[in-house]
Amino acid sequence: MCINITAVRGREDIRLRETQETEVRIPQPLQENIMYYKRFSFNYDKEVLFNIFKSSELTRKQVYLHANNLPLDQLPCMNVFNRQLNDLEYSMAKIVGDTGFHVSPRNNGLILFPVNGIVRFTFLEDTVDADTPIIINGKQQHTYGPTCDDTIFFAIKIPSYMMWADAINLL
Amino acid sequence: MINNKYVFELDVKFNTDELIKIVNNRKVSGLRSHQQNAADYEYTNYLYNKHHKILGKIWNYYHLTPHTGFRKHIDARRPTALNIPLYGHEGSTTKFYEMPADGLEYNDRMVAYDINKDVQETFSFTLTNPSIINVSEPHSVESGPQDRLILSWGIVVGFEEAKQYIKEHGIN
Repeated sequence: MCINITAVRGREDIRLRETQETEVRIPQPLQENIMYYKRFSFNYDKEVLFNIFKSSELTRKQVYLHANNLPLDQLPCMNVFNRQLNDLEYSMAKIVGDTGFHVSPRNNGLILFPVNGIVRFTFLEDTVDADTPIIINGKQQHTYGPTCDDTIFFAIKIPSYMMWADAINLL
Repeated sequence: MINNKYVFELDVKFNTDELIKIVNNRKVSGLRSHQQNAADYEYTNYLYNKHHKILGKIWNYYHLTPHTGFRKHIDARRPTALNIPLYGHEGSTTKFYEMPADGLEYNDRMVAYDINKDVQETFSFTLTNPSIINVSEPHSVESGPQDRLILSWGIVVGFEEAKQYIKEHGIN
């Protein structure tokens, strides 16, 4: 599977090009608090990611079970923020507990792709279930955790030098 | 004036006499011992209402006795802070460090990630003016030969966003 996102500076839309035949448009909610998060449409194969996770060696760290040595060529080939995936930090993990309220210490948030189950993010004044691809503002105080026993996600970390407003416009 | 990836010094004046009075006559907030609600005091409520887009609802005060400090850490629940020196800043030092690849340990009492490993110091300065501080970067504080008191108000947006806001709207 290889999926490309071409983000165009100054435009709100995202152009998707992919090798798959179909494109599924995910309904957008009427209201979302873009200080905290923004959903976006993106085609990817959850099953491929799920199988990668299930066949990976896992390392427990805090509330996560991280998949080690992810095969880069099988992950969504995304050009995010005009950077290739291999220039960015990313991870695939099963989350087994709540993180507790925090702001992200090493990055500005997550671009999260649900793989199995749903991660629930709680901000001070809002809650959102990550049941679609979503970008999360890590500099707003938040906590997140699983909503079922086998909640797995793939996430790309927003670089710490990138402002939130730029991140959501570039994605 | 310092303006780098850690510190943005501000050429603004706050009513420090009033802030010292507020800290000295602080209320029982029901929060952690170093925290107060902005809404509980006329002056801080005024500042909060004026700049609620970036200022949090809670401000902290940090009192250090001579030659004490806070070890290397990253703030856990606020990405950025507006630090206002109230007194005793002479001889104090705030240091910043490179970000470690791992080894952050959450410290619930301090509401911070402790950094329990050697990391390279990258910048240091003395807080003498109100400043926006990038508390998402590893930093430590040592007081000088006097008691040191600062007000440290959490900002709810990242460092660069805070700088941009203040350039456009001011902060006092």
